[in-house]
Amino acid sequence: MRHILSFLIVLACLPVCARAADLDVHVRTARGAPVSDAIVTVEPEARTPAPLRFTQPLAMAQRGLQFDPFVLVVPVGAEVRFPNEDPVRHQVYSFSPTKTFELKLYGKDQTRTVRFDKAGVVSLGCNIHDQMVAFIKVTDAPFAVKTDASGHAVLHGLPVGRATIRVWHPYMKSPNGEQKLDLAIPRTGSIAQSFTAELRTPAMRMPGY
Amino acid sequence: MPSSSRVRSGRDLVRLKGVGASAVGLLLAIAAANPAAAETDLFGRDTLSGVLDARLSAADGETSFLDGGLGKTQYSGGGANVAVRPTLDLAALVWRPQLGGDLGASVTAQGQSGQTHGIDLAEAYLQYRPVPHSATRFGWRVGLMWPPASLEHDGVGWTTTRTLTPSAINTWISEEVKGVAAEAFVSRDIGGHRLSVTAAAFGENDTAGALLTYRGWALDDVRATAFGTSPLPQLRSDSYLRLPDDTQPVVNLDGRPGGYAKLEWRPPAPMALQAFVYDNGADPGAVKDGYWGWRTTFADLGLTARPGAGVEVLAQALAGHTYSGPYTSRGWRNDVDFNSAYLLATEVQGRHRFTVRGDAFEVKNNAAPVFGEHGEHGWSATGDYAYALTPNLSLWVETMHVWSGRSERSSADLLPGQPQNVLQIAVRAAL
Ligand SMILES: [Cu+2]
Repeated sequence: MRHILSFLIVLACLPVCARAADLDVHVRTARGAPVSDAIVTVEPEARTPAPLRFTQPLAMAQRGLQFDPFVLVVPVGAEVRFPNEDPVRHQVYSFSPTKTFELKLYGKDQTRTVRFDKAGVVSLGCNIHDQMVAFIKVTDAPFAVKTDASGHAVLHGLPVGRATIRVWHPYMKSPNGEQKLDLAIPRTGSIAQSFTAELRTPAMRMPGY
Repeated sequence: MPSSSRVRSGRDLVRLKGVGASAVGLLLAIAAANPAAAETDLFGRDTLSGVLDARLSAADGETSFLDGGLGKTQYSGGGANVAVRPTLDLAALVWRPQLGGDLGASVTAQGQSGQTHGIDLAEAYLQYRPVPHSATRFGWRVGLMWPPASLEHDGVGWTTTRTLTPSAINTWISEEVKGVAAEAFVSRDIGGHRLSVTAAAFGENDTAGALLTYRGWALDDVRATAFGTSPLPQLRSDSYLRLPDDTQPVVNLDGRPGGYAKLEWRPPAPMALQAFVYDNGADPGAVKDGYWGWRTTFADLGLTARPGAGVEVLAQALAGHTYSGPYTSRGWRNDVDFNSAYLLATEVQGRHRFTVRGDAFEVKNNAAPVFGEHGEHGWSATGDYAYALTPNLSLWVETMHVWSGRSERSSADLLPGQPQNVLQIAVRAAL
């Protein structure tokens, strides 16, 4: 779903901070290939005055014997729906410490909901279809966005001052799959920041046991 | 003899009904006894799937093995003339009930032209597959099943998904390598690698190798069933070299178990390697209902690679040995080594799939030549195009050339070297 692919975590302080800057992020490999599905989060040093608000439904669909999207970013406490749009049953599970769960087999046009209470990475699988792989990044950062197919992402309305920017990808060859950078956010305008990320190749997934 | 095979067929049908009824009863009993009955789903719409494959074929070349010849495909041409015929190649219905507590079952019934009974069982097994709680996963299957040896049969109901006709190797696996097995599986993810081991003990596969010896390698998709038989070539009906009418692949002649094992390695790269070994443990001196035991062993290496988006390369190489009684002063009456390999490349572009495959095969006769010249060698080239009309309906065009040399043909006044061309147009529907 396009709207999920491109959703932004909207900061409640938008109306409060009349002056705010945009951050323009590009993630590429050393050879210049765009890195999509990377999660960019920003944690301003200044306290955010209000809790996070999400304007879009949070969903991890099962479609064409794959999860969609491949990477989903949600805030801590999010209720994520798992709609099955396939004509076959799926059995979604995670054994990640961030959230261990199992959804019993369910079929077409049914959905289940899972609440994610802890920040971290949840890697998803399907017990029926080994080729199904996806990741949910549960974040407590007030700003988060996912890079698009061209490895590009924009965050709007960042508060002025120092902030920590993190870029995470499930296959990034860095400790915890992320890179960190401290940056000064100006009062207005737009700043650009590039990241170079090397991705490891995951073991192949195929239908099987 | 026709009369004896009729008797056998009648008895098989009775056995088939008995097995079918008791299997359904067993599943219902398991489901009813299971405390997690809330998770059971016996006849929900999601428990049924299936496939229908209707074909129009045009073939030249020699008489098919299905019609008593040594032809390498399921189609008979008239020598240089082309024979055209429509067939219902396969109708398969797969029932996968959930019995609760991660226990399920898979039962596949099939009907296809060339099959002994109108409807027969292709597979019927219980499967336990718990949700993994760590990087180690495990599971098991018990029942009638093909072993996990084919890289090409990953479709619904053990169908091929890249070509209509499987490679020589996997044609043989489909035809003769199937038994009643107890199989365990374990895999572990270690530092970006995945290692899997599958091992099984099995029975009811004591004649594997008979078809491969008497007919040789072939490229067809006529599949072994629980109660069906495969006809054997009838070129020498006048001599002591006359072959039995048929062979029954799923049969127990000696009560001795066999075993198979598979090791699979998936490195952090777009490729996977597997090694599969098989020994049916059959007593080559056993004989029952006119069927001899065939002691068959083989090893198979398989490679899957996905070098680019939508591109996949498969390769398998298999080498094996089989022998069968009676034991004579000149050694075992039947004794052959068999080898085959194929390389397949396929590319998906949107709704289109293009596939090419090359096969090479060989049988070396080790038995005394007076018992029949079962040695052969050959190759084939296959080109396939498939178009997905809808997610559940596809149109296929496949062209295949097979050439084989077999000196046994001389005894039937045929040239030892025989080419064959087959063109198939298929409509496949998924249910
Ligand atoms: Cu699934």
